[in-house]
Amino acid sequence: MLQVFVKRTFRGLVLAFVAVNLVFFVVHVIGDPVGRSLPLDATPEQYAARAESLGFDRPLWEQYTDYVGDVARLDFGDSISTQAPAMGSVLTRFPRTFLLVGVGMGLTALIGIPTGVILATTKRRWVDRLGNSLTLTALSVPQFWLGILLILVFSLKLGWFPTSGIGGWKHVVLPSIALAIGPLGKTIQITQVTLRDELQKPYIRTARAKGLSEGRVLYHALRNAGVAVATVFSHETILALAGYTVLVETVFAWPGIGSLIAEAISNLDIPLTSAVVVAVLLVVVVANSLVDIMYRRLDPRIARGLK
Amino acid sequence: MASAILGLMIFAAVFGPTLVPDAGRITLRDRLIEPVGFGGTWKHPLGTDGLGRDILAGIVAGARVSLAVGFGAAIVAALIGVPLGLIAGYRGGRIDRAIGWLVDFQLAFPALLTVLMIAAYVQAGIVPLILTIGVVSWILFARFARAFALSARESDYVAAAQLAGSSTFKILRRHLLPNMLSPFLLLMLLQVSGAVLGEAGLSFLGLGITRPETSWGLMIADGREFLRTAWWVVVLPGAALSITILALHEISRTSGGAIGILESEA
Repeated sequence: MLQVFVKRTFRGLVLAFVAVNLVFFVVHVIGDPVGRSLPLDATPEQYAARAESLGFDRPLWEQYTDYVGDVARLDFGDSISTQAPAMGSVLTRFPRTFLLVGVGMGLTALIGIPTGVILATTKRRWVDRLGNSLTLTALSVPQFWLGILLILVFSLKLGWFPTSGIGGWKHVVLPSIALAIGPLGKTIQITQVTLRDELQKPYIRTARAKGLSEGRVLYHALRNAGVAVATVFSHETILALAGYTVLVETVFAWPGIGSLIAEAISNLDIPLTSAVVVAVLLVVVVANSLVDIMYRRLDPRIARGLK
Repeated sequence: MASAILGLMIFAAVFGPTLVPDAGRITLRDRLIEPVGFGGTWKHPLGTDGLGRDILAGIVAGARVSLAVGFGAAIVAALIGVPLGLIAGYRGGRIDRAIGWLVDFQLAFPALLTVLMIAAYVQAGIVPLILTIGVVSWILFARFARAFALSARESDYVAAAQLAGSSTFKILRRHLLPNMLSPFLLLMLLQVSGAVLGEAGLSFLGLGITRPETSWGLMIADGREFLRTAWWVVVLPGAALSITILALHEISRTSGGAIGILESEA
């Protein structure tokens, strides 16, 4: 266990280092933040003045050492657009995204896994067909468009929920449904497919022959299908935490980490962008390690290095 | 059914802009006209947006952008992923470990951040979108090609080619590539749908396609301010996007095999 932890930490550090370099490379080497922050008809003098005020006129290696030095001290500086410390905004925004992802993935598990079980065990053709169409639709509808449709129907026409922003529990409902749609399709699909495979295996025949109740048989099959379901589920959760909520957060004006990424990047706000990228990466590394530990609990074969 | 939808979209992408021109023409007098059946006329079958642009022409022009980015990015991803995966699986050993490390790395690093940053700091447009979305989505191809090469390495036809003295490159190109074609095409369709969604999302955020060009994501973004009065401006381009994705998923699902690939992934 300790060895795994050390390995993970090392990999996290390497990742963070590469990420920081990538930000530098995109912003300072191939990007042109000076030109893009000025109007198209700016004169060369205006360009030079802006480059000087942002520090882009210095030699590249000097910009690099300064940048890496600041990041190593976790001092990202103040945001260009809000003047507030960049790390502070990240820390206030992240919990809101955690809330959205928590509710959304909770919905996904509560609806997705039972639906997958029903589809895997049903003998009725119409249930199978209906389930497959719903799964396919869930997989195909873009989250941000669904979000706008939900606003159209449930906020503007029916007036049940607010259109955007944060506040009470009512503000959480529509964005978390929009967020859950893609993961829901994938969770239903993987539960259905793996459970159906498990139910074909010889140990299930043995269990039935021993006279176990159908509920007990299903329990055994589910435990073995669990690893595949958990893989898909945790992958989706980590993606959401990695900023993929940006579209839904933009649609609902939800001030989480996703909309912070969009703001930082569209405003060419370099300190804020670096802070967000490093913070998101840390969350992803920690989440990946937690998933690794969870696997070892779920499937003893992995812990013994057999798989 | 699904193939018919995809065929229609490809037809619209190729010939549509000639049949339904003037996607970007602004006619303020004709703003926010309803679609046919909701009070509109056949002059604008799907209505117009807030600047009087024809929605049908926009959807047709958007199909060209979406499918160009979708197929383009999937081809870029395949060009990177398939050779790396084949070499990793066929040669094994140190090369396999090095490529495996690259895959792990790309998996742990959120692709979205790279794409967003490049879109904002470098430049938007169809070609940059194809390159950035393609470069960050090679993993699935690499893992698929590696799994295929691993199993093919033990097969009789590869052994025969080795005995005949063929070089590694020739074995990979002449014997492995043609044999993996059909599952590869299914994987390709899934990747196309991912890239189409990516382009729509980026354009929606204002970081992808920009005016005067048109994209479904951009049309949805522009229509948001008229949501209360003119639903069609947002709903119709989104519907075009959804059924395109749906068709791509359905084809790769019903052709079988695709689920097998994804399972070997898990």
